[in-house]
Amino acid sequence: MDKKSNQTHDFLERRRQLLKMGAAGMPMILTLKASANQSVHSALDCSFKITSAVNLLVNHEGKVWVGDGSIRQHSDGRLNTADIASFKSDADFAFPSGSAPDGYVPSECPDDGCSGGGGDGDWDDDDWYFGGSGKDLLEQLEESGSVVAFTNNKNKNKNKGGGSGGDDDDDDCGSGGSHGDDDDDYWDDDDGGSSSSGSEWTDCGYNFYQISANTTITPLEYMNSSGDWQISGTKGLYIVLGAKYLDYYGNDGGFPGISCLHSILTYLETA
Amino acid sequence: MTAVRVGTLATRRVGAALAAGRLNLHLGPFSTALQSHSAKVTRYFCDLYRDCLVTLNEDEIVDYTLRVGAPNLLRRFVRPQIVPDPGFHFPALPLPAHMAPLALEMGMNLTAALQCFRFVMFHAGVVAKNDNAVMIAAHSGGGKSTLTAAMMEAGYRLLSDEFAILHRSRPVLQPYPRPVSLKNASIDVVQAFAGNDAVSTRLEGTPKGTIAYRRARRADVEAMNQVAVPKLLIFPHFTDGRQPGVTQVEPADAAMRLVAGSPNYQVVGEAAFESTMAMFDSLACYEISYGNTEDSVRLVEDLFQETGA
Amino acid sequence: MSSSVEKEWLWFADQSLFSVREMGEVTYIYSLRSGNTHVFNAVSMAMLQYFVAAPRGVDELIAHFPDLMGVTREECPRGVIRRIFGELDDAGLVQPVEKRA
Repeated sequence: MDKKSNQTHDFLERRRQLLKMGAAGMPMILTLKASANQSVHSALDCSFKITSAVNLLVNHEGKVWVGDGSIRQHSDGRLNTADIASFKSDADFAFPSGSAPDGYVPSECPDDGCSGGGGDGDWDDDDWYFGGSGKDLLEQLEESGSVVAFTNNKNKNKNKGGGSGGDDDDDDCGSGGSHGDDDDDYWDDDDGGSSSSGSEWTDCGYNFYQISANTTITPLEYMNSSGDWQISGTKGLYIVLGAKYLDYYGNDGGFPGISCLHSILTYLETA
Repeated sequence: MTAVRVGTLATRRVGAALAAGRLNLHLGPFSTALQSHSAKVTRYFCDLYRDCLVTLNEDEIVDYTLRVGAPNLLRRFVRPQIVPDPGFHFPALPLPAHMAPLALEMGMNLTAALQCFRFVMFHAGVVAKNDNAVMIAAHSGGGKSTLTAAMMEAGYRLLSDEFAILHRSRPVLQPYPRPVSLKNASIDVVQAFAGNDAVSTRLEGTPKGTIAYRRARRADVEAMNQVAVPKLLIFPHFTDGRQPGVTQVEPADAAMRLVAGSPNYQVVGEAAFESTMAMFDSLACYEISYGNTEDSVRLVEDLFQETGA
Repeated sequence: MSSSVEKEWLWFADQSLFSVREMGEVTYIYSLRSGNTHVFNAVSMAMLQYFVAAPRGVDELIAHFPDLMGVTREECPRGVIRRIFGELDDAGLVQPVEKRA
């Protein structure tokens, strides 16, 4: 009887736990995604279309937030810190430190506070250049110090109450005070910045990349005839992040274009 | 024409048949018509497929056709390149001509992975003892092929290095014993215990680094129609110098991981679901971590015995 | 999906259109309609079974689901129930069958 009672209790606890995860935005139904259709029809030549705008925010540690939020940009290139905070807290995907290759990572803000105006270089997508090392994409990523664990907010409940994300990493220059967020949502990595004024601007600590709606990405364009990955531009960063997602999460979870990348990496693996 | 073993044919004859596109390889459940003008393909094929059966007949009905050759006429002569052409649009990366064996093996993988719907294919190495099978699934660099080759030396027969080929109607695995693909440091490891003769010459500077192939043995090829029952699914993680360790994986999680690496699960549909689920009914699933090949073999053997196979 | 639509329609999960296999703590479901394989946990499976049993409205689901789960309403908020139902709908596993009288 005790055993039965314990089992009932455990079962109930498990359901409570699942409901908490549901409340935190975890999907309750997973759909298996084999490389299937994509690989049958396209394999290495596959491309995918980003149907709605995707923006990527990279901080000085190489953390990356991916979402559809916007960040206001001053005419001199500086970014609005309040927008940065809300972009981070609303992001669909958050990749941990070291996820962005070095060329995409901005300089850290100086300890003595915020720098005033001035840009830290241009934002031209095509200035970055990696690769040519004769190594595969994941090897290149591994050498960039990637950490594969990341957070998927794609299915989070966007209607949840509460304010903006808390910030305690002190890397947001010019934050006009912060509102702590103690809701312990699973995607909350406790470093989201928050600004109350929305009028502060920063030229350090973050790079912001944008991919407009209906952009087509063809991963093969980032590989030369020797099979080396040549990662460049915003689309290149997106491919890098997709490969990281794939390495950790497999061909599932809704990162746009993941099946295409999966078929390519599987192809190289089986070569 | 009666099928004959490649090793009984003169290299010149194999080359002529390959050039004319009338060499049909009969291996496991598939027959593949091969065509190539490359002498390197011919030499490699005669060596690594010497125990396999072929027919020399251009009128035969086959499952797949594969041409391995220059992407265009100029590339046969100017900085020669080679590319696999499985007969459907597939813009594979052209490789330098000396990588012809790689192009052949890539092409063989493609033909089966993208055109087979009679079976459910998973990306895994498979070995078996007493017709009980161990499936070895891994990410790139995880050690799948090295472990597969090592298990061959431990008395297991090779079913396949690349594909676990599951029947649609019952949970048994079909052999497709092609050469085992070895990369970089694993080549020395396998060569050390399998011997020089078992391993092909090395291809340097490929997209995956240095590559060589370990030949399927005569006994593996002779058992190519002998199915095996999957008992154990292993996800290996090799890290140099690491202490051996075993972690049980929930079948539900293992199924998700295995299906993610299937090129045709979605297309085969309900039969794939039913057969895959039936397979997991009696499959023990583990992650193993290790720092050397000896440890990995010992771990797998221990787990295999625990299954009662 | 607007709430007015949810109130008007009854929803039903036709179990002849999927194949079910339990595996440990989760349930694998193959949808003959979509050809997709879905993985359900105990909560989402309970909701699917709720709609297999009989055609029901989303308002009924919201009213009964906490009791069905054996938890309080606070532990099983309306928004979470709606979202899980949305996942069922997105997967094509429930269909509207008739309008409420």
